[in-house]
Amino acid sequence: MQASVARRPKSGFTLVELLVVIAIIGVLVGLLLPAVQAARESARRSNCLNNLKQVGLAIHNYNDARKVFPPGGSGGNATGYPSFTSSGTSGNLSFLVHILPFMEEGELYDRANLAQDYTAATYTAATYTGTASGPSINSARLKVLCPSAKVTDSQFAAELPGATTHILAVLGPRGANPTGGQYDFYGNGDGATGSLFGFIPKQGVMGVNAKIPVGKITDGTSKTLLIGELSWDAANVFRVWTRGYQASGLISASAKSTLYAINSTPYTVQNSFNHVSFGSNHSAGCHFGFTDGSVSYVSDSISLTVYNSLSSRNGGEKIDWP
Amino acid sequence: MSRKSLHQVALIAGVAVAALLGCGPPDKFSRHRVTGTVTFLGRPVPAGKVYFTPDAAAGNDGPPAYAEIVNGAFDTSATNGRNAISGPHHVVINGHEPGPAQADAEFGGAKALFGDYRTSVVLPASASQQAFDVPAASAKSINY
Repeated sequence: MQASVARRPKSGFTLVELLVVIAIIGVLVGLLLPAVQAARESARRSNCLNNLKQVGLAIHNYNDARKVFPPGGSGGNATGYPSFTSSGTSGNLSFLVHILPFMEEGELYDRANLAQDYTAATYTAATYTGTASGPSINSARLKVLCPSAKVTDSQFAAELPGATTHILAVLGPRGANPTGGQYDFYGNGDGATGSLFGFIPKQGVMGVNAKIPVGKITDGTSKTLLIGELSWDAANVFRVWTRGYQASGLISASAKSTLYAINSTPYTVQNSFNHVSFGSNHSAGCHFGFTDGSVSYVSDSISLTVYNSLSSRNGGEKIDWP
Repeated sequence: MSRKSLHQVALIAGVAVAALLGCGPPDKFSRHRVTGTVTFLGRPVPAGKVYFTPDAAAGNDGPPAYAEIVNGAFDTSATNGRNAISGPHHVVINGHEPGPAQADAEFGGAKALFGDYRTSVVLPASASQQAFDVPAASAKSINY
């Protein structure tokens, strides 16, 4: 018995040796985990950037077919504001609805009645998914959601169940123009009424009810923002993806201005609705699509002067942008 | 295993932790904390936001800074804030009624107290304190 006890240390590990091995494995796993998380976030960023590129291409196909860029959001007529149809009958619809045929979703587009609002029966479960029990107004199949974002449904109770979009149109610049004065907006002494949800800029590519041909983008298409990512959790402004522009109230749901810095301003005060910041859960910035079809990551440290200059199509600013 | 090798393991673990926490990429801008107060009609503004935008026309171009107003006070290094660079800045202040924004309502934004008040300030290259008093005339228009 005593002999066997004496032999035991020669076979197996002591407690201290085991603890050391566990500690070393722990350190190695600790080194690996952040790298794995960073790689996963990097993959999600690529996915998000690719989604933006695809929507940008669909917008370009729309431009090829119609010779104008689609409106950020279409809607009815208000005095002093542009109209989308000559008769004034246009539903409250986002640019995503208008580019459906160019995203290989022609069938959904054919079912839609462009004179009806996003809330109409054409956009309910039975017609949009083919099954009455399926998720309604599904944007997951459109690939307009950022994989890093947590909010994927509308935050307006009346629109539920309805998925949101993380790709929004750039409504235009708002604030001071570096060449002097303010960027132009509706309600700036032009007979139009101002909006309680924030004044609506005039100098973007995808404005409300806008039909801008490429010839009117005098700043150059590679220096003009077209679409952007709005997917940060705290934004508090997510609405259903089909919703565009409401003429009564002048509410732009599918397009936001560049008045505020990236990631800075959620929807907390009523007159910021049309101006909520673009932003994302990626680190320190978000993705933007340019009017020449390119996509790029824009840092949230970007100067507001440069940011607004990129957002305008005809501001005449001289900026240093790669 | 001796106590000495345990110390070595502890040393390796310590170096590994330090390497993990590491040094992030340094911000190439030199930013400074700005704190202060915002009052309207003599009373502290309950909620809102202060924006500091470098004045490009005055030769100061750079990243914008902002801070949330909580009970009349703001701090750019608090949550949802960003410290400011030095030099001439445009300041925009908006204030609204307190209370959490309703997420599930169309009119989820709180009622604005005044139209955005614009002023300007020259920030020093160090932490600074600023006091802003929004004039009564700003209450006339809350559209922007």
